[in-house]
Amino acid sequence: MKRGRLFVILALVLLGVVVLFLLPGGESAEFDVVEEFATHPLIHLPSIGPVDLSVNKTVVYLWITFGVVCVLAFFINRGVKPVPGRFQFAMETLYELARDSIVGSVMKSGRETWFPYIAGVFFFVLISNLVGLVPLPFAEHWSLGFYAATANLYVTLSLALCTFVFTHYAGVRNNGPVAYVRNWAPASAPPVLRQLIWVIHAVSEVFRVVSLSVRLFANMLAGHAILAVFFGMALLFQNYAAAALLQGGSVLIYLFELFVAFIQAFIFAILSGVYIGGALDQEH
Amino acid sequence: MDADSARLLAAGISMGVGSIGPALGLGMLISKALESIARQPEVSGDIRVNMFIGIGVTEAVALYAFVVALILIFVA
Amino acid sequence: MLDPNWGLIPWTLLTFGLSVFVLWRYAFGPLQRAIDGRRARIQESLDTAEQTRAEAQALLEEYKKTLAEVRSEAEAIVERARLAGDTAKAEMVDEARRQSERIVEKAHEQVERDTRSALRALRSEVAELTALATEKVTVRSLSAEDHQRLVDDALREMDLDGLGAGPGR
Repeated sequence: MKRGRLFVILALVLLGVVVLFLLPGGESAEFDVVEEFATHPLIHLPSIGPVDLSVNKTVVYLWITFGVVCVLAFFINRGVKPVPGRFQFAMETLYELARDSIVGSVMKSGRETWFPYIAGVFFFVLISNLVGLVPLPFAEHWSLGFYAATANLYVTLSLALCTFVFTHYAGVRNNGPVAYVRNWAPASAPPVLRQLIWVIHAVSEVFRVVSLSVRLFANMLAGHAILAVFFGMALLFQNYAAAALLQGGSVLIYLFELFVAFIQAFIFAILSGVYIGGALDQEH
Repeated sequence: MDADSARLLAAGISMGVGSIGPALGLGMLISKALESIARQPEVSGDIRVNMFIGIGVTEAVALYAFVVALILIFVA
Repeated sequence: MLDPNWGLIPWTLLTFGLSVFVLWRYAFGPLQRAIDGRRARIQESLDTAEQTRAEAQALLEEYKKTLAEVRSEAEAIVERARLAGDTAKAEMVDEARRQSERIVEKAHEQVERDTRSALRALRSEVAELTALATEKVTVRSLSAEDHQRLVDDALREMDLDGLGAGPGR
């Protein structure tokens, strides 16, 4: 009896799949992944030289991130209770992650001074990444779409430049300008090798900015591109079966992207901590 | 072969070949980290933090290939 | 995707700076205070628990000590009672032994007295019988002197010392 019913259900599912394959698809639609990441100006503002200050999709996402930050800060500021609720417990867990796992584990000195910046980077990037996984109506023709501020190279580049500037500011303030620059190469090395090491270090300082920004940007861009391709394939194939299959796959990709969003924020913050900590406590 | 097809081919190859190294590296890195955690569970926090740093640094290599592919397709 | 978009840099720096400021000013402080407050409260309750435990421990020690004292006191009482009982028993046994010895002594004396009187009676009887027998043999009455002499001889020949020294020796 039970076996029989199982067979009937299986047969129905198979029949459904076959019908889905045979059914002609929905309306044909153009789909271009690049369009998902294009930033057309929404509000035109004057540009200063090459710097076009127009408000586009990315700026709107930055504002949304700032808005979420403000809402979180408002609720935290209003309702800190001795016995935490769910929201407060989640916030405290993130806060302790930033304090103990990121700042506490990679910095030796200057933890108090640099904690706000590194934890701020962590929260900002995390919230920005997570906001990017919520469908918002800023795609073509105000339709729902996925986009993240951190999936734009210039946003991540700005964040990496902040870390770059603060790294050298911390190093100069802590060690003095001359000693800081001289300590880029170990004093014990022989003369020519020492200059070579110094040049390599100077180049690596620049490449840190590149790797820091490109890592975050490429991760978010790749994740969103894969999500967009999975959603767009349903339009391209014009077939209900393929659409159902790819929607199932996109759920898995989406879950993985949640993980990536978190990990990338963690890595960005922890590398900022490593760089600033390295500038504070130079090896001699 | 015209220039466009060469660009697209180069983009695919750069992404595919560029993923091999980071994939092997990530496999080694995570397996070693898990071995260390299994051997010394009391320092698993430190090992995990450093593992994530290593993952970030290693994974960046694959993402450079990704960016090169993007540049090949859309910019060059 | 990769188009130059320098205008984003000032926007990013602005929103990022504002976000860090808002987080620092309004979020991190309260969170830190909440965590610190909870830590302090947990520490406090741990301290209180430790103190209560120490007090309970002290109380328990005191009770144990009191109990031990009471027990040793009870043992001492029992010991004293047993000693007293032993002494009384020994005294009673001694008394009984002395009494029985006295009774035995008295009995001895009585027997000796009786033996002595019996000997005396026997001696006079034997003397009378000897005199009587001699009169019959000689068929004449004896004079007073002979009578006395015969009695003395007979008594001398008879050995009654063994009888006189009978029991108690």
